[in-house]
Amino acid sequence: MKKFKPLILAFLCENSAYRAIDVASMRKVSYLESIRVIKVPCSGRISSTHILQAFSNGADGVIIFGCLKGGCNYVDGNLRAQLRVKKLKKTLDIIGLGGERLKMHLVGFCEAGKILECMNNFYMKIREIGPNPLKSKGGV
Amino acid sequence: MSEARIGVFICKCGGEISNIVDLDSLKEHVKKIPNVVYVEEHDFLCFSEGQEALKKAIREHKLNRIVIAACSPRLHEITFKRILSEEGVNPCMLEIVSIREQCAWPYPDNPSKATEKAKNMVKTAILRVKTLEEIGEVTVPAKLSVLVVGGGIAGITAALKLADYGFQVYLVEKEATLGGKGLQLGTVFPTEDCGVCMVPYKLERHRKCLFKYVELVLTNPRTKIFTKSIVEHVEGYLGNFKVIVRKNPTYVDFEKCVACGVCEEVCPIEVSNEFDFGLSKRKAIYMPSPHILPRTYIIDEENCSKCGECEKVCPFNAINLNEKLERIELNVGAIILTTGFREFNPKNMYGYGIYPDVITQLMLARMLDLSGPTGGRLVRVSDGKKPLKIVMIQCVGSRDPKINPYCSSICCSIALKHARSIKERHPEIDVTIVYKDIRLMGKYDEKYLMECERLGVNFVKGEVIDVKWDPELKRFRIKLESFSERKCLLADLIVLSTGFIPSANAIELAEVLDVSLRRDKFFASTHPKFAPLETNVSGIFVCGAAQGPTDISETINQALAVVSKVAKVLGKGEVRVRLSKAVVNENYCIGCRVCEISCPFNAAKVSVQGISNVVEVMCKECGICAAECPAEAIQLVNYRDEQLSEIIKGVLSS
Repeated sequence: MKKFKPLILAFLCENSAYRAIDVASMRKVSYLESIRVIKVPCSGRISSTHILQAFSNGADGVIIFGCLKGGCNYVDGNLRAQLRVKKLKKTLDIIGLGGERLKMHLVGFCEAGKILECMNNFYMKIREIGPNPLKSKGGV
Repeated sequence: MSEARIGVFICKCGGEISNIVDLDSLKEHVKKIPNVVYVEEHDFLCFSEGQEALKKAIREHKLNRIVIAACSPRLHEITFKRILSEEGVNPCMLEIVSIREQCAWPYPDNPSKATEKAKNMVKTAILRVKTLEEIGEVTVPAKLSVLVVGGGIAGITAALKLADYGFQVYLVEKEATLGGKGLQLGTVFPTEDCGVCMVPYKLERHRKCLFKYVELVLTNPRTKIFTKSIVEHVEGYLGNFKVIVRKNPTYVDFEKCVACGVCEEVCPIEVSNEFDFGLSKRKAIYMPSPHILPRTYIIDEENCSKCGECEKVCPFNAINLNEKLERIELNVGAIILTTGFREFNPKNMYGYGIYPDVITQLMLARMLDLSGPTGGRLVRVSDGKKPLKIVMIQCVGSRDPKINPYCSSICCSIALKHARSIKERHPEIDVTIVYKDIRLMGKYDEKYLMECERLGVNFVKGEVIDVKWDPELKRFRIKLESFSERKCLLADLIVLSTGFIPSANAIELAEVLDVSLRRDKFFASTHPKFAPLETNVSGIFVCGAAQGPTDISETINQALAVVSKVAKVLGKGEVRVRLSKAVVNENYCIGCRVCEISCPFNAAKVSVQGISNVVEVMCKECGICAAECPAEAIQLVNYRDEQLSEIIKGVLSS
């Protein structure tokens, strides 16, 4: 059997995590190729709809990176996103996708190491859980 | 809008990209996508040759949307945007794909994966660039006037500097006199000069005098001062605030009053002077200190019986007891909050409020002030005798999770300043400082610690458990725990180094202005590092102790920083605003006010008709409202829901 390679969507806040990814790549540290990156003005812009859309389009996991607590350019966008993620996790549990397919981390813009570690851990976790069940049911 | 003509430019980055990503296959892939009219690769797009090539291609092929596949947008986005606007293309019609950071560098050993990912990313960018909307700019005229709330050191400094720059300044002070806490301090660190300038304000611009500014503010034609006034209502935005100031009657016209003192003599009412913390008496018409500015008598409304004696005797007709409350409307371009702080009231802590000989550092400052109620003599409040043992207790009401968890940052320096000046004047007095940690934040404060040690001030690290009055010894017994050892100290006078809390009106003012407060109720700044003096409402700034306890040097620094910010924003007389904003679809809006609550900058407001409306000048393009809106009626331009789902679909397709 072919080894399962999860497809992961990462939403990155352009003020912190997107810079961190740049820094990480400047060190030429490889991050997992099946992680796809979307830049957003603030993690607070991502609504539950977008996360669900990602799942319905075949993502095995969605990871969101916001600024550190107190460091959001827009006062509390990161905390709002965190709250939204917390609520959506429960919904994902109920609908059978599983809340652990969604994760949010707060990182500073120079924490390249942390962001890679988070991505790696998440990747491993999703590999354990297995592919998005919507895929096999033809939802994609 | 005309048809999209997309140009795709791929940078080799001198081999950094082209050695790993197969650019030929990428080009072939891109050419097949509809609307792509031109594809080019270049060695270095960011070099002047590359820029010229970009310009030439835009001109020749009439491109109106550009995709650049190169390094991270963080590096050269500004350069490329400039090129676009030079060629007459709206700079927002640009999408930069960082194939170097996200494809080439991370997978040096796996070129096929890197190429695959690059194809996917460029394709998504092309799909996205098609959906981008043009973003315009508007210019809003700005008023060249500034409202400063609070007439303390920060307010005075800011007002004077702004007036120097040519702005009309309105200074609103809730008390009858200017000067704030600085007036009460006696001497101030680190230079040990007087806080109230005893003689020097007459000798204009005395080098060391702090309150030379007050005099200058009073005489400057471009500053208008409203004493005993508060800000009652504010509406508008950066450049155009409408402010209503409620001016309570002062009864004495400070421009006419010459402070001759005739009125004080005839006044029949005598009460204790709260300026000196009850250490002296005063009449209902009084001068809190001989050095207040504006140099005028003030009437204490609470105690005044309106007998009219003073009105009759005043030789200059400066007194008018029938003065009524006034409301003044002002138009200003920006607002600066300098409301300062006040001392935490340590009621019932360590016997404060029970024994008169337990006092605070500010009371001690009044006592040590040569022009203060005791003429600089150190006395016990209860019997007027000289205290021989003084104990100062640090961190009263600060660094205490139950009261105020934060460090008030200046109390250590204040205690050391006082300990030193007591020791210098009276070497026979025994001074002990009981501390948790000595925290000196100022640049020059370490010298105080050294001086105090040299002069023989005792330092005891520990926590006070109990303070009791011993009637036999006629002294206080202070029990404390120091390094898990119980100790007992005797004292004639206990001085509490109280922490500092926000000014009493701060919460009220925050509500009027829609400005957010931190958990400790000081004004919150948008970013602690990058925008320390900006509040969440653009055009409203905060400086000095209104954003947390600060010493005088720091306060003045902040005031000057705010002045430069205001001058930068309003200086041109107009405010330019990019219109990449949240927009409301009125057909969908249900008027639920979620946007109003969630907007961190108060830009979204629901109108009387129940339709949300975004003030473009205040919007800062975060998109939080768009994510929160339950009806999806509010959308962030170029990050609309449809556009985002397009990207999500794009990057997830293989």
